[in-house]
Amino acid sequence: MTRLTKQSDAVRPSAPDPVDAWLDVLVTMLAIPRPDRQRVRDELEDHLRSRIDDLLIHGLSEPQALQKAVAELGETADLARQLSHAHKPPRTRRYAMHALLIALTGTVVALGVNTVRPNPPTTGTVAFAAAEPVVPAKLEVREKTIGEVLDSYRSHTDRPVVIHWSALADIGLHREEPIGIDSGPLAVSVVFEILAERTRGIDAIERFEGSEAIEVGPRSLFDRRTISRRNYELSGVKIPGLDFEGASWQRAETAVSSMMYAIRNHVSRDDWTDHGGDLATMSPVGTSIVVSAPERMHDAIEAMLADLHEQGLAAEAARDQAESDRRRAELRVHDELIDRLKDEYARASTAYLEAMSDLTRLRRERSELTVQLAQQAKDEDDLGPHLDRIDAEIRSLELQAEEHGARMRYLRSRLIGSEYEHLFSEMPSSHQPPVALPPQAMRLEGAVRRPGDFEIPVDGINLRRFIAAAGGLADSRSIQNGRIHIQRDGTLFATVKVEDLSGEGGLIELRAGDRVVVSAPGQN
Amino acid sequence: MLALKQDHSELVVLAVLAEAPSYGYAISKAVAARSGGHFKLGPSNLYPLLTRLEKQGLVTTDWEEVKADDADPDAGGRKRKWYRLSPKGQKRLAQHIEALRRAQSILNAFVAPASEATA
Repeated sequence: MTRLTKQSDAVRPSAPDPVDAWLDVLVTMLAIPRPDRQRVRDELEDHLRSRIDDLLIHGLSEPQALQKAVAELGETADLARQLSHAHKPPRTRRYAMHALLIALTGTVVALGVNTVRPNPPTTGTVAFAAAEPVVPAKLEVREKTIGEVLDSYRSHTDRPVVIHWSALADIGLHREEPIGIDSGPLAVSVVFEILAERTRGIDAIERFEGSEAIEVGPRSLFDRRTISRRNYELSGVKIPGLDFEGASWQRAETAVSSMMYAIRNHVSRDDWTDHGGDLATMSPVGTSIVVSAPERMHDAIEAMLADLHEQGLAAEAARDQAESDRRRAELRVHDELIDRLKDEYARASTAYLEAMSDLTRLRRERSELTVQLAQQAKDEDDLGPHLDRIDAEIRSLELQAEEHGARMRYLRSRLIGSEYEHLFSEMPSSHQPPVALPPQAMRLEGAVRRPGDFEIPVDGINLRRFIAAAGGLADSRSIQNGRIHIQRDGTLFATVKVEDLSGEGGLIELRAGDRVVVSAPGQN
Repeated sequence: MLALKQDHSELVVLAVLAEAPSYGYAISKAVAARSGGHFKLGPSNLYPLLTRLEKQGLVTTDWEEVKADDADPDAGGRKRKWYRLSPKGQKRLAQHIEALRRAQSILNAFVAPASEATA
């Protein structure tokens, strides 16, 4: 611990060293990763101190030597920029040179017109593909210089070609340098790929389809020209796991920022300002992102989003298919249940009606007997047992009728509950008993999800079933003065007053996707 | 004093390093000395160039700790970055020299007759 303190004291004396101070300023101006900064600083410190030592030997005073050594480094900001530049692919290109090139382009175009070949290979757009002949042009490379090869490229396109030699030299492609490919003639695209591979990590040679000419130069040169701002709306983009429309604001925000993260990491990673680059920036605006970047990066972003969207759609389609299969199976089971219930209900009601008619017959028989008994009081002993037998039979029939009636009522309520149940997907109150409904106004909503169109005859019973299903009610009495609203494609399609229907009957036509809203003023 | 063109400065630096490994300040002194003071390679050109050469794998680098003669022996020294030509750098240098010779011979074809004519 003491050693460390001592050492640092020795390196940095309490009085600020002017060389240190200058280096501190320079380092803050370097737009390069931190470890590189320290190395640049160390190297420049060595340079400055070596230079100062030299100047002191030549007889300069210490302040003079210091001043001269620093002055020789040039403008601090300029040096910082050049150093930052060298640590990255050369990006910040000189605009002066740029302007000069644009001025030159005019001249070259004038020259280039003379070299236009007689047969344009294809008609139509001036896309790069159209500019190359159908049979790919081959360039001679054996024992050629880079200059000779690229110049020979001119004769293979219909458009004037501008080659930015000095910018290419900056990325290590020199005109006079041998291309160093020992091979027979190679396709233009192959030659460019080989050259691009050679400059990888620094920059890449590129052919740029300019409005006036095809330009050959480092990518960075063209990047600056094509920077534009675009807005990518994500809310319509389907990406599994990302919810841009967002059930909640936070979820949408998370989705947008994870998308931004993915874009920054997969599209030209080092060019984003967030990664220390100086070409592209991106910021979120609601559910969209605004990107300022060169054309090629926009293309890559679009391709990436389109890819993900396609995958998302496929996943969604698979999910929908599974859901609809499941629903169909469910509906089939349900239909069978309904059929069985209807059958049972029919039998139960027949049994009930039979029991009731037996009961009616017996009661009539009994009352006739009672009348006879009143007229012939003396025969009471003869008729008494007979009357007792009828009474017993009536009691047994009453029990039977009660039983059948209960079963019938039970089955009817089952039917009411389930017949239309599967017509609706959302029945918020369906699991609540009617008593739990709010005493005041109520509103029940369901979406018709069963595929196909339905005509629901609405008489007293059907109406109750319908409402029970739509609203999850077993008893329609609670919405006696209510309304049934049917929304189709987002607009109100029909309104049915419950009171109108309960008496006369009617027809409700439904289609899959309709929303049914049952509302009632409630009971007082 | 001539300022070096960028592609010449690469040749010059590679040529200096071809003789012996060196470090920044020494390289700039060597360039000035060997050109008889005609070429000047200032820090603002030299260090970015060295960085590029390093990135392209044309040179390899080493760090050395150096101390001034009169410095406290306990004190930490400053760091010096040494550059050494890599095989790839040697190849690049050979290409540069070859290209330069060709350019010279082409130029000679124009220069020689003219000088004879004036002679």
